[in-house]
Amino acid sequence: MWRIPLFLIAGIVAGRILRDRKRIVAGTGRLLMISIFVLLFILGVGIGSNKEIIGQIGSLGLTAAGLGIFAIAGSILAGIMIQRFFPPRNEK
Amino acid sequence: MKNSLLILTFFLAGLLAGNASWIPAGWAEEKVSSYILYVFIFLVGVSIGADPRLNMILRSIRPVVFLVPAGVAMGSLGGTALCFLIFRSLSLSDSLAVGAGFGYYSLSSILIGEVSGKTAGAVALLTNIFREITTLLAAPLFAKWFGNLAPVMSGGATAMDTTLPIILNSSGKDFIFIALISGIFLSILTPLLISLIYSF
Repeated sequence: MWRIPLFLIAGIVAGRILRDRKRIVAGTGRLLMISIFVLLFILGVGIGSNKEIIGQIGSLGLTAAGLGIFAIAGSILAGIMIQRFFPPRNEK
Repeated sequence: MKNSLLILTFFLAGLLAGNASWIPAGWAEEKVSSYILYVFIFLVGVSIGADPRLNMILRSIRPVVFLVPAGVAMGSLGGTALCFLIFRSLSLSDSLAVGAGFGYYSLSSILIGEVSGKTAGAVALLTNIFREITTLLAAPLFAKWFGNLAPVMSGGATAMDTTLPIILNSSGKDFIFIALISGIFLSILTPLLISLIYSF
């Protein structure tokens, strides 16, 4: 589990070092897109081949909508409190 | 978070291929993908590190700046924890991890799918797409009802790219700075929080 923060931080440091090398940055951006495609395809295969998950896709959708609504509502509530207790002053 | 449609096309293609058994069962269960996962996390880091807007964050580190992303983080985790207490449809750690996606559905679903399981990964994908689409559609209403900060809060990690235009449209140009900072900070926080949640 500790590998994820490690790889993330290593990536951020590498990105900072390489940020002026436009072609390398563009290349890693393309590689990132490809890895997202591959990983989401694999996730799709894992979900699609799992009859148990496919069978309850409707209730999973409801669960997802519930979590989404609560996450958005909680975030907006925090925003209302921030606006009340820290009114914008010279924000620019 | 760019190319949302293309990303979803690949996911749906995988879904179809898996469901129609074009690809042998168990193929996706192999550990092969965890190596791609680390490469992926590293590349996510590179894209954040090379982002010219990161300078803006580093230059303007004042406690007040982190108030908004901290509020999104606490609100999302608090909200999904409450959702767990009421409905108990996913475990507490899965609920929190899904909330920690902050709308960043590609990263959160891949990570949660790998670390926790395909079911939680599927929910992470749906919840966080739901969050992005809701923000795209409802940002003007959120701004009107709950104040100009609300679209930034709702957008979460997507406030730095996909939902930025609608946020500027509904909250005003003054919010570009806070939306970018909040979005970038939350994008970094997503993988960190998800791995933290599952380490307990």
